[in-house]
Amino acid sequence: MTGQAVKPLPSFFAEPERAEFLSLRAANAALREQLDTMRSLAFRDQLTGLFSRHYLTDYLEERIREDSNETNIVLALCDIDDFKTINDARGHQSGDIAIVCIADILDDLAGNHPVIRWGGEELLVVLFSTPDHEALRLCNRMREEVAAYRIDDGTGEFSCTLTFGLSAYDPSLTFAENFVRVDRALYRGKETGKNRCTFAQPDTAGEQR
Amino acid sequence: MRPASKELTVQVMLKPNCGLENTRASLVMRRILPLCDNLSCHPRTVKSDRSTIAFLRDHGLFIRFSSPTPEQVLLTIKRSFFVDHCSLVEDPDTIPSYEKAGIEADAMEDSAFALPSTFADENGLDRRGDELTNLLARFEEVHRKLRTHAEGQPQDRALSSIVFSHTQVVDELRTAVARSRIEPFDRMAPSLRTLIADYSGRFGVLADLDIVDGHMALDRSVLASMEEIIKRVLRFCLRDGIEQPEHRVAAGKPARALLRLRLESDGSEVVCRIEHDGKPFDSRGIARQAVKRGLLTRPLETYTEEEMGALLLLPGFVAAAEGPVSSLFPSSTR
Repeated sequence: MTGQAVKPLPSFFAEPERAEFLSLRAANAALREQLDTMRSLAFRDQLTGLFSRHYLTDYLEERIREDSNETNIVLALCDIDDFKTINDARGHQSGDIAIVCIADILDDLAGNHPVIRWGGEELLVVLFSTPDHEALRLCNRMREEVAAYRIDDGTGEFSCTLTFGLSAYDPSLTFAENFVRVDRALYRGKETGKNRCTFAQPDTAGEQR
Repeated sequence: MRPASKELTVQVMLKPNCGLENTRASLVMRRILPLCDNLSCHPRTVKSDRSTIAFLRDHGLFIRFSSPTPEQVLLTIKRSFFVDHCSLVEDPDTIPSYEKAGIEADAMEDSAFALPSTFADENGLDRRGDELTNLLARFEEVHRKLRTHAEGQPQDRALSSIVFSHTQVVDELRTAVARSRIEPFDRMAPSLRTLIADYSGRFGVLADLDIVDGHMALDRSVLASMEEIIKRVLRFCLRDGIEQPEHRVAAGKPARALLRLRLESDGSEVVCRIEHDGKPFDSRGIARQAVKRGLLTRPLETYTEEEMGALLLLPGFVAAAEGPVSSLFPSSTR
């Protein structure tokens, strides 16, 4: 993850300094790698084991910005439908169990793509190097698998559905602006019936901010 | 036909104090299910039963599986965030039994890997099968509407002809779907034999299983429900109906007992008879147990022998193995 070009040493470096410089550079690279590993372990949500929001804001955001210039990245934000109803009707532990199951299914199906617990019942999947249609297909698969899974909280079985909002990352916009787009797509999905995947429409002049 | 994959057993420990251990264990099972030909876990009821948490914390989750890609199964297990470590179990006798408090303690659930039903496949086939049945029902509904419409247009010959062909296809599809749910009874034979081997070892008896007319084919869900009850009865027979080999030989019987499962059908009903050459059944003993446990809903004298015997089939009914309490069915001496 260093991406640093190997620069030639300045010519005026004497031999002992040269050796020290090289070893420091190697140590720096090793530390960076360790830091990456530590980040991926530390920035975790305790309940679900997914990456926490901090992981995205402190680390992943930078990577997304860089990669988006070269490949297609799709942000997929999902929200558990009528989650408040489950919490109220069955209790908070049942709600927790539901989140744990849904998080695991998404993490399983996302493969190597990071899944982040964005909010209480909101999960964000960052699909690197994925064309739009493939992202949509994957999210629909996640949605269907979650809808079909019977969650058991010890007193009975129930199922949850998800609404997904998707948006291709636009490198000309800030992360926050990109996030607004995906959030709007999610909102549209909720308004039009829930339990669906909605892709963000390209910005038109008439869209409200 | 692909050769059967080797059966492996692993012990999976979850991260300490991660909470909701039973749910997390069931999610591990969910991840590896598509990779396995056979899969079962111990304790069996982790998904629904929070009281398995203590066992999971102390001993972990034991998974028994066979798969064409066992390495992938192990990798999938280890990749789960909440799995702390996973190791192969060499000696299955070291697996502690799960004792659930309460009357269920002596039921089938406590044996390691109480064998899963051959036919119940909760997250896979059954769901797809129901999907197919639902789809067929919707298709037939559309067909009915089409036919009604066509009947209102008798002058349209082309339409009538099309509807006629459509009717034929609907009929054939219905038959094909029904046929796809049919399985021969014999499919559960290996599972029953394993059960006989397991339990006869446990109870210190020798027994063989003979299935008569096992080729009989029935709907999958019927077989699944039969399988549960048959296994319960077989277990009961082995525990309370078959004598120890020494006693059998002393009584002039062969050391190995024979359990015979006989399938009979008269077209509308299927009967499964289980016979053996062990001790005769004592219905009074069963009835006394039931009285003691307050299970009878009317006076004892009003129960027929058949009804008393049927009490045995109640899930969780424990007939204490004291004295000469014996098998359910009349003995047939050989």
